[in-house]
Amino acid sequence: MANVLVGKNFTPPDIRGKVTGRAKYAEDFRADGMLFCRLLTSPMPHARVRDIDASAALAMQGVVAHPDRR
Amino acid sequence: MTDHHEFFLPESQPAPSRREFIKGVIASGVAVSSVAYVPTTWAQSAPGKSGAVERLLSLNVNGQTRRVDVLPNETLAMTLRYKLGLTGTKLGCDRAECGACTVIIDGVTHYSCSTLTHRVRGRQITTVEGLESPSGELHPVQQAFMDELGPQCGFCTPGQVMSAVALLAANPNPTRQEAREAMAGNLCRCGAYDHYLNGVMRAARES
Repeated sequence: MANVLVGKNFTPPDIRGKVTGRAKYAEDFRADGMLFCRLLTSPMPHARVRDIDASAALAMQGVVAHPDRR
Repeated sequence: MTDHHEFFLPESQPAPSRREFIKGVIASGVAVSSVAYVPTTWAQSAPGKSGAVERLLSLNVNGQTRRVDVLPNETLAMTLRYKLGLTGTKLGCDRAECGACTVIIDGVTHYSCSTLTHRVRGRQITTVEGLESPSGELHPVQQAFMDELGPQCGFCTPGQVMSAVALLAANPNPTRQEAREAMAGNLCRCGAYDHYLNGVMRAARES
């Protein structure tokens, strides 16, 4: 492998896609029915999470689920 | 800042202490990543919510007239990426810091993440997708960036390309220092600034 690349000019195979904007990054993909998640992190710098009351979040329009560690 | 702070942290105190303030900045930094931003905007488009009504308008993008429904608070980057499918325009910071979303409006570079779509009616918008000739030939800047291996991860590249294109349209023979200043609004986390500068100077020589 080293003999193939070292000391030789190399054009990355994806560089054309990068300069034309055709290269796809994670945020550029969309699928039907795709859900989006959002992190709500603790306001406390160091604390034990005893319970999470997600009822207000789940009542919001468009909210599908509240995944947690349970 | 206050608006953002209260928007993302509704439970925070009205007069935040310095510590609260710093936490707020950190938390909003997480919340404002472009992934998280999408459902918020979309949720606001729900019918029945006051003040968030989509209106149909015509946009001139890359020489084509495109009809699209746009929210009053929708940014041009959102419209381009998620309604017109032009994902070459990247969202890095979504707050006018990084330049990945740079587009050209009537010959001048703008951060599309901080431009409201309703403000650009009747203007000529050029994105990275609009640079190639109809026959598929690359713009001299794109070719020069390839030759100089400008992109590493490539995420900032469309913005870098747009800034370089606008510079060379206004000043076909810039000095290296002028090019450096023209590209100053585009951050590159890979640190390939010199490669991009080499690309701009090569494009100026060869076009």
